[in-house]
Amino acid sequence: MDYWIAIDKQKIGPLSLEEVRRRRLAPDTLVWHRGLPTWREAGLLPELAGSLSTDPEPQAEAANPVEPQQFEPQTPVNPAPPTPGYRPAPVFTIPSAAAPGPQQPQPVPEKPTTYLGWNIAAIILCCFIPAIVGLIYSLKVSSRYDSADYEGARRASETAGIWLLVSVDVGLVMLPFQILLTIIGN
Amino acid sequence: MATDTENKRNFRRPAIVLTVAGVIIAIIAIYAIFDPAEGFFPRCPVKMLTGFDCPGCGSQRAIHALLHGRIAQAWSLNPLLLILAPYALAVVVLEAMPTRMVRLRRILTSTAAITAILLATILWTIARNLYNL
Repeated sequence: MDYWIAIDKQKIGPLSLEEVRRRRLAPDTLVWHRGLPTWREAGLLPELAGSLSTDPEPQAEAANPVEPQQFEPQTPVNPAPPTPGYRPAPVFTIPSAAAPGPQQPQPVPEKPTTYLGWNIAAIILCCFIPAIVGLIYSLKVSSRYDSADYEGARRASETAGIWLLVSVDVGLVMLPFQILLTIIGN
Repeated sequence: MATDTENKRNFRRPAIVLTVAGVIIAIIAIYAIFDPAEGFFPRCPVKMLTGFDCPGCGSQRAIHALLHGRIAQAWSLNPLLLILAPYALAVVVLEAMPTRMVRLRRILTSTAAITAILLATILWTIARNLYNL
């Protein structure tokens, strides 16, 4: 996935997640990737946890400064042999994993878009059958977010958006036929 | 490093907002000028095929009545529209700017609120068909 970051009002990107992590951003640096409705502060993105300037420097990077390319933050097992002063590298977990890393608490991400407003509009104004499905997914975004299933909430948000598009498409396709039927009926 | 795709992204969002706003204003103008009870307005296919009222039936006439200040008539045509339209508008605006009024957005899009809307919609649809409301 491509990331963009904003530093000194300059957009930098596209960057890979690895490159963004390696930059050790300040927690208030704005970051954007596809799927985010707006720019977010780096401290709010779970995938950047442990890589920010306020987090402790990962030991693997400090021990092997010549080969920073080989640093794999996703790998919990550090292949480097223990040396004097060795600290284990922080364990990184994806947000849906049950056990959070012992080193840092997972930051709570922002609630994803529920598309509730647009789905209500679609129910009242056009095509309630796909729109009710969309509304059920809006509900899932909220309930999954409440139970700290942030990854599930994000996926439900995407599905709610897709059903909203289905509603709009159904409405646009039906419109000429509906007008035709009205004219015939008159 | 301003690539082409990056520039396109910068322009896409305001373009979408302007297009949607333009379409909505045009639709409001049409519904203010013409009476949906007669003429070329689209009919509800659910109503035509099954004879049942869907949750949105009456919305076109209700919007026309509202735009002419006849709130009581709009209410009798589709009360769901009057209740949910301001709510939906608030949620659309708040979700478009997620950093503002976070607490209000959380309340309006809470699990309890969405459940209530879903139940109200279903119950209202059943009731309006059973009791000819």
